[in-house]
Amino acid sequence: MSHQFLSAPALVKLCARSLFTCLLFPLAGLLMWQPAYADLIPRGAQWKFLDDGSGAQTGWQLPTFDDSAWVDGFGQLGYGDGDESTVISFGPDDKDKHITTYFRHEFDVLSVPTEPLTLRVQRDDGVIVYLNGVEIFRDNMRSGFVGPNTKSTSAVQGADEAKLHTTQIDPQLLVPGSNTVAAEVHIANRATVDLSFDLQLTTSPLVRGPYLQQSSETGITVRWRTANVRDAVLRYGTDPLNLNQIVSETTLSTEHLFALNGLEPNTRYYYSIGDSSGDYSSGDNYFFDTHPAKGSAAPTRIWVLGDSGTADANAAAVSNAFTLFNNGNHSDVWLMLGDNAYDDGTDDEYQNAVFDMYPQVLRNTVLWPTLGNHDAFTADSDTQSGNYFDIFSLPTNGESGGVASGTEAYYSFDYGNIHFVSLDSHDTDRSADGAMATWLKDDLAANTQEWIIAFWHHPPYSKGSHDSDTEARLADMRTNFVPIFESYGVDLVLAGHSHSYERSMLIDGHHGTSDSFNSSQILDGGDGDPIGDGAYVKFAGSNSGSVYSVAGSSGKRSSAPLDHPIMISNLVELGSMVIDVQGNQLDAIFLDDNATVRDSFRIVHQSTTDVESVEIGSATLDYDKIIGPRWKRVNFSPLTTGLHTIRVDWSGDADIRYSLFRVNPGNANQRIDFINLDSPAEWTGQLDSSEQYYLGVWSAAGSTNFTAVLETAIITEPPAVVTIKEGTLDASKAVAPRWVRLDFNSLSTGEHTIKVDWDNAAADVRFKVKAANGADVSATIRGTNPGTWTGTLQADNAYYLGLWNTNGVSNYTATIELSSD
Amino acid sequence: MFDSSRPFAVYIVFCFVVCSANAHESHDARIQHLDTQLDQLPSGADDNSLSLLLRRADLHRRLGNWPASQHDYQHIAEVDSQNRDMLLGRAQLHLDQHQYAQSMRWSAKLMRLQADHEFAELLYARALVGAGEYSAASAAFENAIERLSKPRPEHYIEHARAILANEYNLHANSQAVAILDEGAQLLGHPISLHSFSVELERTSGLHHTALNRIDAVLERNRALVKWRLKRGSVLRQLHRPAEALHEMHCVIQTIEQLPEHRRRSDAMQTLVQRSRELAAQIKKEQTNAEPVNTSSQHQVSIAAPC
Repeated sequence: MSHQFLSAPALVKLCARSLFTCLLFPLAGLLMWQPAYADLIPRGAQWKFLDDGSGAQTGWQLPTFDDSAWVDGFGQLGYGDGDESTVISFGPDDKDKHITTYFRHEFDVLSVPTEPLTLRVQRDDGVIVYLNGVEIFRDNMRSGFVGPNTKSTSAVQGADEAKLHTTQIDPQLLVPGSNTVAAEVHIANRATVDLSFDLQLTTSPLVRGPYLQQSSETGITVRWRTANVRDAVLRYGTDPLNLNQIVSETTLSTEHLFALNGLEPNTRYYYSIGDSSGDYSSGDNYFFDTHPAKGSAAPTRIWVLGDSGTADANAAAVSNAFTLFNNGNHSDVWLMLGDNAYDDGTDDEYQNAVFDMYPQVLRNTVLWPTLGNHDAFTADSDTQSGNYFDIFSLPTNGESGGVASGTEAYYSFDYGNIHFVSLDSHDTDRSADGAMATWLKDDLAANTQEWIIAFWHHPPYSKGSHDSDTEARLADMRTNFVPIFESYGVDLVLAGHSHSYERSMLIDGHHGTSDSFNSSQILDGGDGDPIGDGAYVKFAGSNSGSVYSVAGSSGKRSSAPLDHPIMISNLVELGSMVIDVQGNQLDAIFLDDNATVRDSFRIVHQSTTDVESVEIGSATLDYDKIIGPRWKRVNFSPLTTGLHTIRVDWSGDADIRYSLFRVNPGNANQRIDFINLDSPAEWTGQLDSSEQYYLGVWSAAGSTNFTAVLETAIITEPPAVVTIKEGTLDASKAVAPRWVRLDFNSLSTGEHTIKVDWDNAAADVRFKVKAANGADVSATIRGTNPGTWTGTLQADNAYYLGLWNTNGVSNYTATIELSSD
Repeated sequence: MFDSSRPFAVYIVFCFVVCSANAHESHDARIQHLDTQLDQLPSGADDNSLSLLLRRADLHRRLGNWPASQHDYQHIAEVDSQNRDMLLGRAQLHLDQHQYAQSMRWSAKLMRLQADHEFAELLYARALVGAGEYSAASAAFENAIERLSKPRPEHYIEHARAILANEYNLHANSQAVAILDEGAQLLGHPISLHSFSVELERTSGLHHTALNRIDAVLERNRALVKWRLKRGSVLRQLHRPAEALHEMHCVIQTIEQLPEHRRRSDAMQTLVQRSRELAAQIKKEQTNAEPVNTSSQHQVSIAAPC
């Protein structure tokens, strides 16, 4: 929003749109840093346009032209791509489309700025832009006279269709008061499939960002780019109306980076960016959250994009679908699985595919990327140079948790109770004894977090557009890195590269080509869906299993056999993954570009402390005794059929290295397994309550006492009451956190009770339940504390709960309760 | 997964939709696109055609199409023999093919044109290693790393390995450790460099030095439980059994405090097992050895905090 340049008519328009903002305006002028820069025409602005093929009248570019007969609509305008806000007409015949469409937009300025304006234009195919009747930009059009039937020079395709072409404009072309930008868009041929137009005219020198990097419990990095060299000022604070912390950089540069430290954990900070003349950007959605305390089981939402760098309608559709699904909520962690900017990861391509594609996410969500093969066309891991390494600030020294890797090519970080690991599968030594593997083993050994999520570009398992049986990088990651991750109990491995969605069962120990996969490597062959075959239950212990997912269709999809035998879900669909982790439960979905959930699975960490433990035998073994105690047979029958763990503990002289036990059904003396106690002295597997078993334990050398225990995991039912969110609302805050929206899914279809409990009886508190599409599910609940609402929720729908407080400060706890019936 | 019972025509339609979406993405397709672009250019070289040729040469090299890549580089050389990207590409191309002398020839030419080229000397050093000229390689790595604006642990490890490969260098281990330490200082103490250094120090019998290093590493990150096991092992070699036993105790205790799914993973249970084994060995050695001087400053109670 412009302050310095807002004219009186503009202020009237502003007040007509938002009384609140209008009233706040003078107050904000006193309390807030005065923005010196503003969009004169923002992207998505309202335009008048002429799309009937009649050809514009002479003088249509001039401010004095009467465009009242033209229709209007919001940008992006066009047809054929599916990402338009306003679909314009191309005439009755799609083989004989109108060549030229005309656009006009009027705006006001109070005074003429002294610094250059920045014009950014999306055009498909060719465009000429005028400011107050003077041509200011021409692209993909021949020079000289252009008429209504003049075609563009060439047909625009791929990422270029969405590219914002940028140029600097002389501010003296503006006049105080009303100004007009006019544009004519020409297609390349009458049978073209699409046309696109949008435009931004701004006084702000900001061309990239702000974007967030390398966050931790107490720090974060904020970056942005300006069109020309500037000093830089970052203001931040926990109150959006009082950004009382200021850091600045007087060295003039186009690239601006502030690494903040000493922040409070688990805290939301609002910020603004700018220079010594004023702010470029600020507002309620310019914020960053420091990480919750390490190890805390805070609910965490993770958004995963793979191969998203197409900068086209596909990528936009995937992003929009997530925005719709996320319903205004905030993601805590954002991963990009490589090939973030096609075709070559150039700076322009990154601008189009990342910075112009996700500006609203970038300003409040930290992006954690990994290097893809396309990014590597203009980036070199070896020298850590090129666009990928210039654009991203990644931890090298354990700044965000994890162990120092010494390179941005591979790194780790902690968020709450999750340890994330990013590897470079493209351009770094992938050998099992290389520096990356050495670092990984130490990093994982030092990890104290409940969950491990790993991500890199080349999938260890895929039969998508890339084949993990035949391609070296994919095979290297499977052969050399999967065993390391398995040994440390990784939960989820994410990759891209193949432009499809492939998701495995819960598996362990498959390191060969797909034809070597066998049923013994399947720990749970179901779909992992709580309302399908049931969640994957991971018991603590060895070989507990992992899920592998290829999610490389966030920008394009490719044909493929998709027949890898470990996969339970295979989709050639555009989409992204959304992962929610809370406590001992991880829920993941694949969300397609229509915001439809196409796959879902859950992993539950089942504690083996939740076990019934029965001692089945103990004895003293002495190797010196030739017969008797050197060997002990322990007979037992499990009480239930299911998964059991047999644990043998022994004490005494550790010369007893080669004790072992075996489990035999009935009298058939059939060996089920042989455990060498060089490996952990546990065995976990399926036992049948109708069978008899015995355990043979013996000493290979020396004397020891042993105890054998049979553990049966207690699978607990989902809790009857689940906390949706806890927090604080303060009525004195103008916006957040006076009002908060929480999204949640019902636990099952049926009647549920939602209860919101407030600790301040004087607070005038209310809440309301809405469906993800915005429809009211409940009336506003107020006047009682705790407030409750009971009604029917659908398991496959998302909902949100709106909470607000109009008086005082109050902590709240929102819970959802399954109905007893 | 395809359902073979579905009509073939469905797959044709399906494939048309998705194949067309994918058509431009493969390297082969991009090479074909470059072929077309180059064919359409007017004869005579200009910056545009050289840029396209370089791009194609690079793509061919990445795909392992050596002759095609060589052909494009040669074409560029005929027009602009001092094109730096071409020289670098050729050096890498020959290195990829283990043609070390030829690789050195091109990187040397590039270095003559631009002595401070960030990457040329690194390729040169690698070619020298390939050619078995370790002493020269070591010197080249030193220069190369100096020129790199953002060196990484792998460069120091390569340098150290070049030093160690020189069987005539009597001081190879200490020199390699010095190089690794230089990298550790510069890069914020990446664990991979200290791992290599400890390995070399222990191989050289420099257990005290190794212990100091391990202590420094643990000082920076107490969660490195594997390094506590290393510490115990070194203490045992230094005949400080009480401290070694304490360290083993601490490994087990640290692991016991982890969340259950971390604590009971294979890798962690293996660490516990190794700690137990080492503790047993130490106890056995203590039993067999002369009575320990209990006034030794290295005595540590097993109950001492970790």
